[in-house]
Amino acid sequence: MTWLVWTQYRRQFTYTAALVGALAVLLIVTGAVMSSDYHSALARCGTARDCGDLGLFQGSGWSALTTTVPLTVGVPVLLGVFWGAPLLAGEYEQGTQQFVWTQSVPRRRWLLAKVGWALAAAAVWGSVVAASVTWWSRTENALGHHRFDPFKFDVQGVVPVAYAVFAVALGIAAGAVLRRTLPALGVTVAGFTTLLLVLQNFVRPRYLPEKTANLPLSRLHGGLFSGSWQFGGQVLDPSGKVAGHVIGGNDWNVQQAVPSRCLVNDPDRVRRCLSADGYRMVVHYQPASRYWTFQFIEAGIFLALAAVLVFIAYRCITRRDA
Amino acid sequence: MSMAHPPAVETRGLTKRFGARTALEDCRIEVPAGRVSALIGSNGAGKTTLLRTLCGLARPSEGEAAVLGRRPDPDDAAFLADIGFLAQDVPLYRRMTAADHIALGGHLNARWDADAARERMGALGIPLDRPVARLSGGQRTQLALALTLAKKPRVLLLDEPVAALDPLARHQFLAALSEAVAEGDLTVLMSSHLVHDLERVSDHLVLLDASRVRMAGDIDDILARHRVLMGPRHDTTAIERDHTVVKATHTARQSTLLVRMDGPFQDPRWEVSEPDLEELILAYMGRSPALLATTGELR
Repeated sequence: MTWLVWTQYRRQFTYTAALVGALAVLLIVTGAVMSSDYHSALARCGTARDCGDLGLFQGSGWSALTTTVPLTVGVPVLLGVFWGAPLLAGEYEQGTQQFVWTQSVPRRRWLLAKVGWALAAAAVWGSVVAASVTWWSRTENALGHHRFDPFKFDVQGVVPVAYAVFAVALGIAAGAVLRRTLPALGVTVAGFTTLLLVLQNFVRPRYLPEKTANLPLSRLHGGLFSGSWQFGGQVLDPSGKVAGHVIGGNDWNVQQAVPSRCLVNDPDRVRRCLSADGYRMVVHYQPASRYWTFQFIEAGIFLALAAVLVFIAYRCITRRDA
Repeated sequence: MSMAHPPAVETRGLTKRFGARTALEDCRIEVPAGRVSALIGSNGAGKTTLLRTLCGLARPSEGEAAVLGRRPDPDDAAFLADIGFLAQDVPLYRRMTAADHIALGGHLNARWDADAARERMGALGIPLDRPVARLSGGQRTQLALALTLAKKPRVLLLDEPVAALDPLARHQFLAALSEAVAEGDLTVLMSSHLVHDLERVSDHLVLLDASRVRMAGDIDDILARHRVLMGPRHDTTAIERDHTVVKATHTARQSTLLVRMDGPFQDPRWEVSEPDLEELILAYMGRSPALLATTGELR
């Protein structure tokens, strides 16, 4: 069976390996250069008090890659489309299931071998891409960009591996149910995208109960919750009534009259002035320390769904007529 | 027929429905071991469904099927090893070569005669190193047959194998098949919508019409059981009392009857001759389901 799977997919395997390999090499090399640039800039900052170069990492030099790397969230979809959807639908379309299911290998064994290898391949491709992206992102992560940002969370750590396995399982199951590659492909793209967006926006923020902090307004600054995921909150006036809102990370507003001496042109000084008057804020957030917990929770969800999809495919293939 | 030799293919009450449509209804068939049976029927009569049920690709809605005494089960390796199935349109992996397919069969079958398959390809001048997509229809069918035979099946189920072939390829295919049957213990059930295609190699026949079995049995027995009666126009009620008139054609002065003889017949007014198989089959097609010619009755 392994021989059949290899013979059938060696061409596709070679193409995928070449693409994934090229991406990995690009990311590892540029990641290493960027990291060494960062460390020498850091060293200059420490010794020569010349910290100008550090700012570069926020912007220009690597912008092309910085915008491209988040696109690797599409890798699982591509795997689902090229590896998952045609796996069974392609057999039905060409009629070859009639050939292979009348050889002496039981249909179940054929299915388990084929699906098993496809999912293993998905996990390998997903891991290589995720590991390269995570390695490439070391510098950005060190600079304190918050890793819960979907553009980072979705392409680093363990979730991309689970996404890849899920997308391929979705393609396989859609192919088993629909028996046509094109519709199965549509279901894979739509299904994966929808699930990811729903999870990102509605479920992921609630994997664990959020934490709440009640702090002087002056402490509102990116550094305080470095690496955490902030959902905003309220600004409280000295009497403890809601006076305004903290929106997302560092933006805030007050929707009532404030002491006129605090109305100056510098947002930092406004915050400090209002703090001195007793203004506080209540903010909700997921602490940075939960990053890996969230990664594993989300990976677990996708892997569990992948298992359900494999079961559906199994039932379809073993229960329905060929 | 003794109990020591159960039929190679047997179905009882076999029924297959697809939603509201009935593809096979209450089919009873017995193909004795060692026979080459022609499965005849017009398009949509249920031939493909019957063959797919026998090789385990489809499950019966009711009734049962047995091949060499085993229920067709896609997860039973011993059952699968004994059958050879050639689907309509001979599906093979388009990008793989004949050599790939021969190697593939070796990995998917415990019993596999790769040399025989290669020899067959060589004898027919079919290149081993060309992807299936670039072989002609006839070459593909020959490759598929060679792969099916390399499996060394004991029951061969072929779905319209010659339909897409030109006369020469058809001849080569049937020759290859006859040779395989002559070589050993092999039973063949192969379908076609034309009797003519299979008449040369078959000695047994199953006629399906509108989802039902209309005729099943040894071709010689079936022919022996029927007579064409020709004579001046007569009243046929006397004949119908003892026999069954399958088809009657009357002109102004003459009657031609195709009769299933249900007993001895003595009437000098009629000129008696043996029917032609094709003519007999056409007469049965489209008649009421009650009219059957089966081996069961012939015994």
